Amino acid sequence: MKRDCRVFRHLTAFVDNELPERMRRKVEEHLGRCETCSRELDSIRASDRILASARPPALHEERWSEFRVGLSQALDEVDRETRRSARLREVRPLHGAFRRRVLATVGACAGIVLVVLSLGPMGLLSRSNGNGDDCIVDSIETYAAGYTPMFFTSEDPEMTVIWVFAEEVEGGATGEALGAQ
Amino acid sequence: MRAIAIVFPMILLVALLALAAPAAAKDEVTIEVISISASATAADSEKADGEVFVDSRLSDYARKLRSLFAYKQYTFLTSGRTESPMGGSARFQLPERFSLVVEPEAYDETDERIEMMITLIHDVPPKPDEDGEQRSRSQESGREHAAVEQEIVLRTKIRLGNGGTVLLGGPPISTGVLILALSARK
Repeated sequence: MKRDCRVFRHLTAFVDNELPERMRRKVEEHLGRCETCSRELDSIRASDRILASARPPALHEERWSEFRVGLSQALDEVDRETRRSARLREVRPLHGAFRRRVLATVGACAGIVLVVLSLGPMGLLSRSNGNGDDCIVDSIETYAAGYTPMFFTSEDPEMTVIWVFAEEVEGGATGEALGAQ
Repeated sequence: MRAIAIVFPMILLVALLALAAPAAAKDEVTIEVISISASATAADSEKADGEVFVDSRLSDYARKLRSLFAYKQYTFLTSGRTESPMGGSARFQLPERFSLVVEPEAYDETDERIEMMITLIHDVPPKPDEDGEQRSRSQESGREHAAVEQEIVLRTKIRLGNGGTVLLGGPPISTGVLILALSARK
């Protein structure tokens, strides 16, 4: 093998198309004359073919973008989980106190509502005393001729009746017809 | 959180007291008057003897009417409901020229009774004079227009239990006798 050829060291670059045009033409002219370099070139190309078949497939830029976005999202999720865990660790010790305060607030509100209702429309401010139909007649009189006023109170049903008897009443609607019990 | 626990109930208390205040300060009396015609004879001749007919609109008073009086028929005539302040008056127009004036005067907080003056008035149409025109006694003073004379049939002062009812009646009307159920609530 004549390794002292000047182009020998450029053969790999020639295979990879990395030589300037002028050098490339010189290498091509030399390969036409030098059998050793030609065989070396074939060997290099064979090696490249073997390596090319064993290489992982090249990723397009789109795939790399997807990969970066996915990675970023995964990292964000990990970050959020970490922060959430940290917050829970902070809140959990306060949970009991928080619940007590809420219960105290609700209890205070319920107490206020009960007090106001007991004083309000259903309570002391306007409740009926149970006197019901009980009625006290302080005075009774008439200024019309022919009428005589009186009143009576029945116990069952509890009711006070104030009645003016008319002297000229027809149809029995007099004191007899009144039929007070 | 502690601030909320204090401030929120305070706001609630103020709001509820503000709502309750008008009820506490309410100084009006709700008055309801129902007029009833009571007749000693049932209008329907087919009714069995002894049966008492009470208008379905008087169902709340049916038992009391049957127990207190001996009339055969009770017919609903009119009803009126209004509110009157203490010291004010409420007038109810009733059938056949009757009217009722109710004047709530005071409310006894201790006994929970409403003190009121009740006046039953009857408008009497002027009697025809010698010329055939209807003139009232007031025209004797020189006024020319025919005025209606008012008779105070009943004037009574009562103290009625809050929310209670009192019955007034007796004046004859064309269908029998007029009965009034007067209720008042503060």
